[in-house]
Amino acid sequence: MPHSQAREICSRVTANIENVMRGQAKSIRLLMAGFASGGHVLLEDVPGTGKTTLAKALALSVDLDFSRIQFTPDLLPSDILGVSVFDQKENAFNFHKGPIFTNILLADEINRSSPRTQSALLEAMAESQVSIDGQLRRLENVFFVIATQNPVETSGTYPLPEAQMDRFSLQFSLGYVSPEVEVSIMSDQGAGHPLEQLGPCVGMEDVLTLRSQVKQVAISEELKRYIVDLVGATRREEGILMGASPRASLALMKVSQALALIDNQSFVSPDHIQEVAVSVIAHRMVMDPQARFSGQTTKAVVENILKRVPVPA
Amino acid sequence: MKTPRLFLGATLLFWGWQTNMPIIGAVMAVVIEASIFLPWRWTFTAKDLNKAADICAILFMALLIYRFSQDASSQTLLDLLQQIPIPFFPLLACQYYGVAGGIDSSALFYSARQKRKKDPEAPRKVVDIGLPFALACVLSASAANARTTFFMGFLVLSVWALWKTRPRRYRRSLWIPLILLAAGAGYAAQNGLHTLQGYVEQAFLDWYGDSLETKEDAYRTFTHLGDMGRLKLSHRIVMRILSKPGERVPALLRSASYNAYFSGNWTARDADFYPSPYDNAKDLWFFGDAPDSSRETVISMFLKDGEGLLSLPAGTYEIQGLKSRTLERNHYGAVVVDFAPRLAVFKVRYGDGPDLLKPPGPEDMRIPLEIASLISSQVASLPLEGETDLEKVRIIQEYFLDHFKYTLDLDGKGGRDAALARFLLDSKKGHCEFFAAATALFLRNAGIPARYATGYAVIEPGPDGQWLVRARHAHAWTLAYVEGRWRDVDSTPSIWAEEEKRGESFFQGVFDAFSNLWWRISLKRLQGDGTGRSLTDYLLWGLIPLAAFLVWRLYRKERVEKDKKSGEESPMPDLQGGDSEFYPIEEMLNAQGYSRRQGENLNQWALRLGSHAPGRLKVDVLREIIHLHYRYRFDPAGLDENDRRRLAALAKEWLESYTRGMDARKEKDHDQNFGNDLQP
Repeated sequence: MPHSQAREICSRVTANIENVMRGQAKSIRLLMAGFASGGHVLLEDVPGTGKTTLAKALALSVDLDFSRIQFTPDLLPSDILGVSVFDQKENAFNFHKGPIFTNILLADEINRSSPRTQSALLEAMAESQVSIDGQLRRLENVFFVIATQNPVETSGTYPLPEAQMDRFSLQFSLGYVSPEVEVSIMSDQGAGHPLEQLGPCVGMEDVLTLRSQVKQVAISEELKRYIVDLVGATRREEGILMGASPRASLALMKVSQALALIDNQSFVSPDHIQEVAVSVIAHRMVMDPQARFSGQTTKAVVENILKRVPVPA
Repeated sequence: MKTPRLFLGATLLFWGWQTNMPIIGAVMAVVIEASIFLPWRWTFTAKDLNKAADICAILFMALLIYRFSQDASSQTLLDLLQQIPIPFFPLLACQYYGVAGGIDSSALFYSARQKRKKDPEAPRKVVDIGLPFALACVLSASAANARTTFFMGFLVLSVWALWKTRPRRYRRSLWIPLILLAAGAGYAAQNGLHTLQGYVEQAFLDWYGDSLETKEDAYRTFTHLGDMGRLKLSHRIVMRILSKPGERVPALLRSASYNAYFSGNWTARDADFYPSPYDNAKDLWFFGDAPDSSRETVISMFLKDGEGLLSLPAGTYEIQGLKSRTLERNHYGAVVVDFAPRLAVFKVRYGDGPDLLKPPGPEDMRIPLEIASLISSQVASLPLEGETDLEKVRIIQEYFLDHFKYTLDLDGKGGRDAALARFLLDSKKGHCEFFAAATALFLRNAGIPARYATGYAVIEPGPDGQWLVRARHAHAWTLAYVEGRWRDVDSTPSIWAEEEKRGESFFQGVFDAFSNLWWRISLKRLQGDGTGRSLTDYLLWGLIPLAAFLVWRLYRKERVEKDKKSGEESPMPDLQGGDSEFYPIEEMLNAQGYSRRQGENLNQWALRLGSHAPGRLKVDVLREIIHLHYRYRFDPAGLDENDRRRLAALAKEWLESYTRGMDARKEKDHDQNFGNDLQP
């Protein structure tokens, strides 16, 4: 039964990651939902909370190509996409693939590079393809970007443009773990980093099954309407310059479906939608500067909308 | 919250009763409650309701402007507060006779109306104004200030409204004592506040009463004795007197009298005020019994802020038609009102009945030491030996009339203390305060108790048989106790009136004409039916054409059959799984007061309830039901036969166990273990 098989794949990966990431069950759940739904994930948190470790743990748990780009201010688009080099022997240009031609791409500290470089990812993330030297090149079948950024340190950074933000299905932060968990993390790393012992537990085939099964999860018309109501409400909200796009509705549906699958449910229930609504919607909205300076956040706006819009029951 | 049936009617009746407009209240109540029995409703559009709201606002503004143009006093504000439900009633009627069951927010709020203009396609947002209106009625009724009956009525209405919305999970035996406790505390608190206010007012008087300086004061009067320069007098008309043709008007209207003289000022000792009885039916304030022969006069006077001293003829025993909240007198003939109209028009009856003033005491014979020798030497020069008291008064009065001159120019030399001595010895001229003070002291020296009185002289005939009293006619004279009663003794040369008229402006005639016009309107209102027409009557007459037009418009308006199910929620039959057995559970929990918040999903709700009342609600079973319910509702595949039956069975069992638990709780106070014996 493919559904239970997919669910099995999910729990295997989750268990594998949990070997490394302590006390972050909720973040792992969200990451898995994003991965299974075929979206991309943006992790935003202060340094040292395990963003990169989480990303690497996922990459190591699945037997897929993995590459990592450390974003710096002098990084160029060609450093990501690849470059054509003239071969004097053959008297022709040879294309050298960049790190983007992989299955899982970890874009570390993505806001440190210039907007020009950041936008090199745009086409890749939305359409799984890149145009280089006027030539269209398809990316791998499974292409998953997991980016990290630090919201506190702003000097020498370029905030991601709205179009780029919209490409990410989910954005969430990890947060600090409890003191007990922090102690156990210290004990674990006494011998060596647990990442070193981590091996893949699922393969490409499994990932494809997982993703195709997510699409099979049923969602009723009424809940689709609920998603549209939630996203639509962001466009009418006070203090919001730009509400969430229809792409947000689409992402919310897909991530909810993935979450339902993780919960071993063949249909989406309202709880799933509510659980991920903030992570899916909030980062796509642009606040009015005045509202932002008065302490209003997009997260609070979405939470407010969730409380207000009647949930189907 | 929707108001319970008949609640608004009862509130309107209560309002009518409290504000003394029972008929208007009853009509409004009947209009509202009759809507239950009518089989049709009007299809008001948002635009219609906007118009209705505008009409209400205009009515209210008109009422406001009309009232304040008539009389801008604090009493008007209270009256207006009492009438608030009247102008806004049409809006309430629109709610009860319209299909929408409420009023569009765009009709009530300007911002909502602007939003609607921008986006006319947006769905109508309907607000139930029943409860706000009921609250406004209660507030309005409270302005009538009938303390005990108001509290009882307010309590009954509150309990009624709260009873309907109480969370059913609490037992009645708990709810009723709690509400009674709250009621008792409320009553105690309002009584306490009232008492506290009394204490504070008293304490304020005790501490600062002496330093409060007011223009006209029943306790003391500040004279211009010893002042310098020419006395400035206003020519404004402050009172009008109207007597029956051929009948004499009182020459002097007394405001207050004082018995103690010290350093140029007169004060009233032991001048406690006590309220006068009021006859509601005849609209009469009583001072004393009617004498054999009495006279009647109509006085209209301006009262600053609706409070102050009345100026009345000597021997006044009753006042009719004075719309004042309180009226108090003291033993020296001062009458003070509060919460009266700014232009008070009333009838005064007076005559030579039994004296209502305090009989003479030692204070009425006292002469200050510093002036006593001067007075006695002057009185000694008068031929008073062997004369009757009446004759003595006449001799002293004539002494002043003959030997002293009237002037408004004050030289102020020697200051306040020496002013009277200079008047008697040097200048031999002064204004009425000098004459009155000196006469009083002369009379006392001659063995006749005397007091100093202030008020107005009625000397200027006006148009149409009225007498005009201007501010400059303010006068002071002496009261002498002769042959067992107090008599007015005026020793100021009568030229004073001419003297004071000299400063009159060229335009005074124009001012008077306007003043006359205004006064005439006020008087007409008073004489209309004796007690004065109330504003609402006028408004109602003015409203007839408007109402007729509205009725005609409404008559032609489309009506639809009343929605039989209005108020009952239909259980979403068109949705998948709309007949789920979970809904009765939700309904039951809502009735118990465990209502689900708007954006709260079922699992969150169940967990929240579980943390409120652990054990009682059997959250685990509830969550299983919710899971099946979710599948039934949101899984396009739905439930198979077995699961469908299981959902029904589980829900039934849960409901039964819950109701059993409630019954058990009603019987026993607390049964901690009751949740356990219901496990399947």
